[in-house]
Amino acid sequence: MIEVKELKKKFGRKQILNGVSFTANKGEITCLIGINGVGKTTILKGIMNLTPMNSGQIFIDGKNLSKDTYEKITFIPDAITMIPTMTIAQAMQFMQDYYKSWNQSRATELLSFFRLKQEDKISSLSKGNTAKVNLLLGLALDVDYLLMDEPFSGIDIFSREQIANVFTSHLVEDRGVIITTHEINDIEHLIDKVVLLDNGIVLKEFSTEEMREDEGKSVVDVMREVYQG
Amino acid sequence: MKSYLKLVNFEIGRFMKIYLVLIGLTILSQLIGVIILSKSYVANANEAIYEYLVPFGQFIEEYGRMSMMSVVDSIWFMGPIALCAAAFLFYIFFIWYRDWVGKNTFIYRLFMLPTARLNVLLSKATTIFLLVLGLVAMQLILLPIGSMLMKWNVPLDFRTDMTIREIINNSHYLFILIPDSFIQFLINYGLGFMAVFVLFTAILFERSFRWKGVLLGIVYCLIASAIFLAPLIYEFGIQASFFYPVELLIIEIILGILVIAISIWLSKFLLNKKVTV
Amino acid sequence: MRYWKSITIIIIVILTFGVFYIQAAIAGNYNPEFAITTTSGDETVLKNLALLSNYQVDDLIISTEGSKYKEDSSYIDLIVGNYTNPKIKQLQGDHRSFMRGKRDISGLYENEGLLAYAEVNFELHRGEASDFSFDIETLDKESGKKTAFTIDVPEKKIFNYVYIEDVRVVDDVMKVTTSNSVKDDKYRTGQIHIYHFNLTDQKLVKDEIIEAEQEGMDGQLDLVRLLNDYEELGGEKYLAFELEYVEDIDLADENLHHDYYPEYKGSELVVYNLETNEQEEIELPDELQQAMKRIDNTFGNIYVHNSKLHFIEMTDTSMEIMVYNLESGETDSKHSIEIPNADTVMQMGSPIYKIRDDKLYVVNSVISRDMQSSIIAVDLATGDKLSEGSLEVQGKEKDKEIYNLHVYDLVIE
Repeated sequence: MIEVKELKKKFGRKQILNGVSFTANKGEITCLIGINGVGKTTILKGIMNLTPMNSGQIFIDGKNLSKDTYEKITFIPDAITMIPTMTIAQAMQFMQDYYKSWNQSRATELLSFFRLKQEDKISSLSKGNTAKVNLLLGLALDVDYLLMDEPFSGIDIFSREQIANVFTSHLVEDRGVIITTHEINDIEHLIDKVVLLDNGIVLKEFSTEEMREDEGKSVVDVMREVYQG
Repeated sequence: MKSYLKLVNFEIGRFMKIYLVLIGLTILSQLIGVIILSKSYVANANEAIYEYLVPFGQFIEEYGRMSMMSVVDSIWFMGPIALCAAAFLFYIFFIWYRDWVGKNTFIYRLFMLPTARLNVLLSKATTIFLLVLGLVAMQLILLPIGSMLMKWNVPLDFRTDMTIREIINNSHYLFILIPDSFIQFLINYGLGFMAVFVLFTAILFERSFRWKGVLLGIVYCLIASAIFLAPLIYEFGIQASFFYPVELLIIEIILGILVIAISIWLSKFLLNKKVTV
Repeated sequence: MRYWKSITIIIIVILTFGVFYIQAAIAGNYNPEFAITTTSGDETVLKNLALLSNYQVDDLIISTEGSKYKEDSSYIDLIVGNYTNPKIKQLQGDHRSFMRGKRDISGLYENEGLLAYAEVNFELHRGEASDFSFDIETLDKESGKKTAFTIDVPEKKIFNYVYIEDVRVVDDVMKVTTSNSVKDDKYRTGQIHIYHFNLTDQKLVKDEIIEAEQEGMDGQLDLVRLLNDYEELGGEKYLAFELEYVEDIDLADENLHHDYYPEYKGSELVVYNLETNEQEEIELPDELQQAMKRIDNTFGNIYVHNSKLHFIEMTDTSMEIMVYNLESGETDSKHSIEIPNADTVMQMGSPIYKIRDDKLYVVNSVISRDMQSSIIAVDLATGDKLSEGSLEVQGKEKDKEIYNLHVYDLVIE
């Protein structure tokens, strides 16, 4: 379980996060929803210790983040974080060099699933294919938690479908996933839990299934209620 | 440790292309320089002796004998060395800022590696250190080759042969890169290493606090210099030589190690707690 | 092997530097080895000599045993300056704590029981020194007891600088000889002061000036020079001063060439008796007057040793030594020591003279390998040449081209 407690973060005078708390469970897909600039990416970076928080606590399976945690949790940002002059093969080699949790057979599987050629240079790939390589480098790690930042933004429709298919496959099964998005449509049917953010705080945190069963509301219904009500 | 070594190898690989260009330029410039300077000296001698019938002795008196010194002090030789020095000074900064260029950048990857972030810094420092030593080693290999080329081009009577050590010690700058004694070598490169760590810390201040960090970085550089130079400032400031030279040496070594330790400790703190991608 | 690039670089670095420094360690210094060799006379005399010299850029010490290059001159040496007077070095070894920060040999005095030091302190403001004071420290060698006190230089406001020339202690009174430059002195001659400090009361008891009557001497006083050996820290009874006179012209005169130097007219000698505190102008015999005049233009010199003045003069073929006894006021002895082709031997640079235990040692400050007698030792009592020596290049470097060797000091152990 990832526990986020009372995160606060300022950029200059702007309070981006003003006491954000939520939890994300293993085996569930948790979705952080909010308009652009609401601090979704900052939360993910905070969980990964890629940017310092002014205050608050983050526990991953009850522990603070340490260097070994990076074998248990990975972050797939909204753009690829590999050197563009590398080929896909070199990028995979890089991952294998440093991560014990790198699973090469899964990487190979993803490679053929996404129909990527490993001798291609990252810089020569289309936007959609670059996003797929980005996803591949994260998904091929045998980690318990996956953080994905806007995996669907700016990608063509076919790539979106392929990526969405990943979520229903064994590639994501049993893992805890946190994804951020500003549009829910593509993935509403995939997610287990929703965290609605605005003005640096959590407006509502709920399970989609419970919401549907108990109150008969879809995610979009709740969003309409919360943001416009 | 394993990750650190892999990172060093990785960083070396990333600079390889520019590095090879630098090496290539140095080799070409220095060897071409030897040949051009030798040939023009011989041409000058021929003209003087055969056309203007200047006696050999008088020619030598006026122009001196050709030696590696005139090569080493020429732009052919110093040019590429200065270029390499400038390149590495630039690279001390570039080795960091390169990883922040673009949208989500490679620094994400480096900071999410399952290894201490300090290893990233240490590997970058080691890379610079190793590559600089590599260049100097190449210079050390090029000197006898240059000497040989000069011997082929200038007749015995017209040249003064020098050993590599003589060339280095008589040059205005080579003795800094390749000092006479091994202890001096350790001191020189220790100083260089210290400077690299201090600058790295300043860079991390900037990466952590941006504009405020620039100021903090500069202040840190000043403080580090002040700590290191304190005994010397004291000695000259009050014009009293309180310390004996050997004491000063020991104090400076301790202070140098202290500055390196403080820099690494601060860098570690910044990398783990303050830096932002 | 994905690591071949890194491994190659590491191997090249280690091999290259390894070979370079191991070779350096095995081959030792590539500079030639020198040794003092006695070419004639008593071989034992030159045994206790050491020449502090430079060969090219390297420092070395040469004795009859051979030469020793100073290794590992570090930045600190470069910054601090690596030349330390051998006498100071010895004192630093014996009294490390007391000698801390004391590097001016002129300010030191030593006898069997006492080590004393005087220093002038000042404030430097916009290149101008002011607020002069004496820092005086003593060390009782037996008990290790130290005393220290500070006293302002009297009339300190009128001086541009105060520079210590000599320090003596007689009966608990420290006599500090200084050369002071006086503000608004149009000839810039300066004054020689002797300040007396009572070490028990820690008080200044007397301030006197060395003066001459300038009898039969036309011209303007240009310079007052202390003739005593600055390395002699105690024992001498007399301080001897040479007062040099030059033609009296107005240097501000626009008709003069800008680097015109006024012509030397002559010198007077003043002797100060440290025991009686009396200063006396010496009437030198004509012969010595003439010698003194000549010495001023040549590489000769005048030394005080055992209450005698030694006039040393180099001519084309010989070295002339005349000894004047300060106690009796008479010329004691005259010696002429033949030096083969003295002019060529000595022309390279001014020789370095040292008098120790009634022996005079002379060494050329620049030595080339052809010189036959660059080192000479003379018995001052008899005027006999005790031994002659030269520098010989040792070992395998013998046939190599040898550059000139520069000697900057001579140590007698």
